[in-house]
Amino acid sequence: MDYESQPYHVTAALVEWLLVIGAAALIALFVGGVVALFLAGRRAPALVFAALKRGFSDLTSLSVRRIGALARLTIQESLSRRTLLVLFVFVSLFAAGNLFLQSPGQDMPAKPFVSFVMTSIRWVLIPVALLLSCWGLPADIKSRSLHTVVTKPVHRSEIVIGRMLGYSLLTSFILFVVALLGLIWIQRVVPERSKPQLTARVPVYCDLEDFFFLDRNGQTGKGLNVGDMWEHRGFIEGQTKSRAVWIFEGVDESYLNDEGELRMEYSFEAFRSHKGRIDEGVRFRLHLVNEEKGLDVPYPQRGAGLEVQEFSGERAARKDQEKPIIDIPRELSRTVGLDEDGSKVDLFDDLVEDGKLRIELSCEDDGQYIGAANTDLFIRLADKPFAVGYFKAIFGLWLMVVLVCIIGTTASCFLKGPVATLLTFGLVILGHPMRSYMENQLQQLDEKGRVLGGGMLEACYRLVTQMNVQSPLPENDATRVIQYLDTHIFNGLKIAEFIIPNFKHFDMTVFVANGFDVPWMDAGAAIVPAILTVLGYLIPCVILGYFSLQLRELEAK
Amino acid sequence: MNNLTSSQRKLVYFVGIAILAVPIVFLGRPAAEGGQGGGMIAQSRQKYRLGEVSFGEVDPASATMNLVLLGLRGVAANLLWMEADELKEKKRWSELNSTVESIIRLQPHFQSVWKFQAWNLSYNVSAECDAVEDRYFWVKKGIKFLERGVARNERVPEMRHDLGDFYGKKLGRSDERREFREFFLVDPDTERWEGGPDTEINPDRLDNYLVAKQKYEAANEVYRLPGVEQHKMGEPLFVMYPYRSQMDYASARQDENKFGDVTREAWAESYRGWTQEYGQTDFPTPGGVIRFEWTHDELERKGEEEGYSLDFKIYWQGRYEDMVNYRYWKLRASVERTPELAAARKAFADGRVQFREEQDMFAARDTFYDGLEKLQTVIDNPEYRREDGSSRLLSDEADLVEDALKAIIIWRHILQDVLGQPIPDEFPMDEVWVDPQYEGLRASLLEEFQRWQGSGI
Amino acid sequence: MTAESVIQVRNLSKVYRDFWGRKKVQALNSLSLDVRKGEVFGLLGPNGSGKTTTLKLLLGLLFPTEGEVTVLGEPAHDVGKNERIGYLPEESYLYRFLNADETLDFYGKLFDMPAAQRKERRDALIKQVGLENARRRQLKEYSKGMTRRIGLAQALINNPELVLLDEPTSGLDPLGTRDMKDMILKLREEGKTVVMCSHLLADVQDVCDRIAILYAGELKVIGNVSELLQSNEETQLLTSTLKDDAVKEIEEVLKKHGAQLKNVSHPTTTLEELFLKTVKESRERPGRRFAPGEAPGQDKSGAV
Repeated sequence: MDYESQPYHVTAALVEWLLVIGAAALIALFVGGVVALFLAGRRAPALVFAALKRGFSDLTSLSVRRIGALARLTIQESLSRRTLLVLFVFVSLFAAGNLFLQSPGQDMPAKPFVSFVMTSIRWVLIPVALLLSCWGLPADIKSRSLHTVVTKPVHRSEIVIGRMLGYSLLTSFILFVVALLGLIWIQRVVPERSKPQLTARVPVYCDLEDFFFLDRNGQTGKGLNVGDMWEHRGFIEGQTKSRAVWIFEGVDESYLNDEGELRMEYSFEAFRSHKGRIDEGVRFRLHLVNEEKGLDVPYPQRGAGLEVQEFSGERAARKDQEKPIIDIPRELSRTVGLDEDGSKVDLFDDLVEDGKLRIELSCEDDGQYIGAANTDLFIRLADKPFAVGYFKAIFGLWLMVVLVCIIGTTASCFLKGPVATLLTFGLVILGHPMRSYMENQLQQLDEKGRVLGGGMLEACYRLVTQMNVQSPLPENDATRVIQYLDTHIFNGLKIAEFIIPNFKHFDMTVFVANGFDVPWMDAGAAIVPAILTVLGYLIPCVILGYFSLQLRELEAK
Repeated sequence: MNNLTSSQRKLVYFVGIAILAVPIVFLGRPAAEGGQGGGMIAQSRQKYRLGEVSFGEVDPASATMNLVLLGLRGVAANLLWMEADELKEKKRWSELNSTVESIIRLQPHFQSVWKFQAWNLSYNVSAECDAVEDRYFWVKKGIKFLERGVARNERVPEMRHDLGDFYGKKLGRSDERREFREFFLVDPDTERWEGGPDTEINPDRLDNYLVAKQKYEAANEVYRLPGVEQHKMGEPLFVMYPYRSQMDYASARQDENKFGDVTREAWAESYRGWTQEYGQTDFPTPGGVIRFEWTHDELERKGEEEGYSLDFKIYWQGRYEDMVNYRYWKLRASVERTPELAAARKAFADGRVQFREEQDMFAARDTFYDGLEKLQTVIDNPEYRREDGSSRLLSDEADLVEDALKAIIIWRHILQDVLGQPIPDEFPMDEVWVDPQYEGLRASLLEEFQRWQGSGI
Repeated sequence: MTAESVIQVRNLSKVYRDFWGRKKVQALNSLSLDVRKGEVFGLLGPNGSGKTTTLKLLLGLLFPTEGEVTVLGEPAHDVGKNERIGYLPEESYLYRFLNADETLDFYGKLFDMPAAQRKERRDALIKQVGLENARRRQLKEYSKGMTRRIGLAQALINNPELVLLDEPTSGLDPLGTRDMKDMILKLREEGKTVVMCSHLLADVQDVCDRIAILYAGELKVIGNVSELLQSNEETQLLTSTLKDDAVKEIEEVLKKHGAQLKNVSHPTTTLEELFLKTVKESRERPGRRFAPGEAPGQDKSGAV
């Protein structure tokens, strides 16, 4: 699984959010003030103040009944547009799913089926949410049905919230039905042999900063690259002092399984620099290390080590195939250490220090290599049923759909349907598929001071002149202007990065598809950041939507 | 127009549509069963073989996809291709597999998609895996993938030929060939295939080379159909593969120390196919049509028909023979099918076992000697001597020389170092031992032997 | 005028601008007027004279370019005043996928009414506007007249003090028009203030206490309907049927008083009244009026 576990800092996120919101509010206030000054002259300060005061009261005194009525109206309106027909799309998609996943033979793993369900739900539901939420309000304004509503004692904030709520409820219903269908479909079509992969493993990872490598001399260093473009795993060399080190925190006896063992799972990768014994896997050994006590207890304690079981999730397991699981007993004999009598050591009494357990990986075959990343070794707690992980991921998807509804509704408060759709769709695309690209560009800029191929204008220049990205630009005034402008475009992008929603938090497919439970807290996809993200957008979006509706004439002419 | 009512306007539109539709329907009306008749478009489609049906099996899912995507098929295929690249980079093989499936749904008749992705699965993905069983699994995936591509592109001989390469070269020539060839008969997934082969790729439980031969033969059959071309390699080379696969099969059996009748008959079949089928195939050359097995008389007769001189035809026959190494393989198959050579090879293999594993030095000594004698009779067969008396076999068959030298080395070692017996002045195959042109080879083989002795493996 | 004013409009102007802020239309120019509590006030004018614009400014749907509007003592854009206002838009901009019950329930909820009160109001209003038989039908199946009725019902859901009606009778058949006018008069009896705008003069004349006539965004006339229409030069008598000598005697009497009999005839009723009478009778006494084959139009005296 290509996933890096990184802690999510709630406080830091909150502070960042407050800063962004504060800055946005200041800018909005400034722009609003200037516009008021332009339109109303000396009465401007009073007008702005009155608008703010009214806004505050409109946003704080809300009627649940009114919001409920508007939400219900929204749902009825959407239903009258035959929205539920989308369910048939899913039914036919799942029916056709077997065709897309050609010949789901016995050796097909569960992963593609789960991915297929999650991906289809995502890409069918997003347009539904998008179109519903972006077209509803403008249509209402255009047909002037909204006139009848706003001449009732309805706060415009209630209209915004009611709409958001209505769309969210409707799409939630669709999502729920579809998720059930999807679950049934998965249970039916995943080949019998791959069914065990449908589970929700609960991993305990070590933090990214607690994972490091020792080089061949035993010094802290980097993992080797064996020629992969993907620098996810670092490799250690066999029969040297080179090791990959994980320090797990908070390890206590509650981590033991029913047999009293610490169950660990790995997903290492082997790389051979020579053929070796072709019918045997490359071997490795784990070392449970307590540096303070000078303990280095190897596991397994005898024999030549364990054979690496690679890519276990990529195909159905053969009957006799070993699983990449290591059960470490609580009591181990100390084959390396200070005591000569070979006495026993206890996992918790002797090896775990302040809840920290240090585990090192060594490769046992001379000249061969083993690759590992921080999530490639984890403590595996008791599994949960597949449905748990699945519905948590669906919950993540639900949050994303809700966010789309929120953004779509907000956009439709000040834009016409097509434009609102484009804007929201743009944000979705920027927030998910393009997000990593954008982050990568900005990271390059941060680290190297420039981006390969340059910024927007430079890229255009290179395209037109058919110049490759490596060769330097000619030195002249034109290119200097281009580069100067690009710097500012990048600065704009840096700001945009704070505003564009990070849809990464919502995509939990990777967990369910690989048979993992969805984590609550993580800097990537996880439940809590996803909830916080939605809340983080809900508040400013309601405010923005409110002022957009309040400060415009609801006349479609 | 403005004076018309709405329903009148609709009527006008409808009539307009109908008028425009008439020529389209007329030109495009489908051909009757067997491709006869039909509209102009249908006829052209038939003529230029552009119809979906003329490519091969029609896949309803992909036809639907193309319809749904309208003009965006290329864009979608591009995006999927990029995704496939990323999945490959991140080693998410199962998803790579399903993404590739989606690509071929979009472009079912794009030869290089099939080829590239089959290669990806069989060669690149399989090489990433450490366990041989896993490697075999992905090789099979690629093969099955390409099989489906062939079914959808029946008239593309290259793809069938590639398929032969997968069965023959990927399974038979890679580092893991020993395991792969075994797995081809007894799949490692014993639970599913019940101790037999994966029937999706080997329904008849044949040797991988024989399956490869079938695939190459199928490629040749398609290639011979009118209007079919191939751009993979020169024609004599392309057509050669079924016959070479037969030899590969026989040769692989020898490598696996199987020297019985099956192997000998495999060589006999190789010789027959090579000389009577391949050697009797017409090849157009700049010097007119030639066949490898044509005598000068036959060439001359053909040359008179075509207006080419005999010398010119001989020149082109020779050139083509050189291209495919025709005479060498003919000689090889010819000699390998003899019982004497089979016996000699078996003796050398048995002798090694007696020497090394059973440590029965007397038996080993006699077996090697026996083998060398048998080999000598083969060499002495006048059929394989040139007019000047030199041996065609020894000059062409480097591995025969090597085998002989190895046998002599071990035999001499047993006599001299183990049993302490004198080495006779004359012994079978001593012409190789004393020939100065093999001195370098002899020295390096001796060195290899010392290492082999020392290693204890 | 001040204490009783429900609506105060002062110096109100509205300019429509295009996207670039260029002036497109001066829809309203320095309008000032007051509407008093309890009266029916009519805004008259040809199409495009600024009637609807005025109404929308009163409702806060549009923002004034200049001037001030006070409704029920609050500025026009204040949401709180809507509690006491009912509004019937020009065309009933209602949700076509709702039925009558749902529509009224929805607007009831917007007034934050509890369920019991909503039901009570809903039933009363549906009865009042005569939609008992159509309450479960979706609005998209309604005829124009039914749509106006449900429109009026939603405007009255909150029992408002002030009712704003935009073209209340447009598109209605005479029967519907009369019903609408009756309902407006009933509202006045209940002590509500009604502001309506219309270009159907007869309707305005029938129900309005005071009118204002707008032309091209400017106020041309404002005042009491009776005062504005009263002609003091002539007096009209209406009696039961008189014989000729009786007419002569009356002429004599008039001469004595220095007046002159100008015209004696049977009064023609208005077409509206004829129509209404026919419909009323038809309701009370259903059945055929003309025998089959008999050409209508030949006087058979029983037609009315």
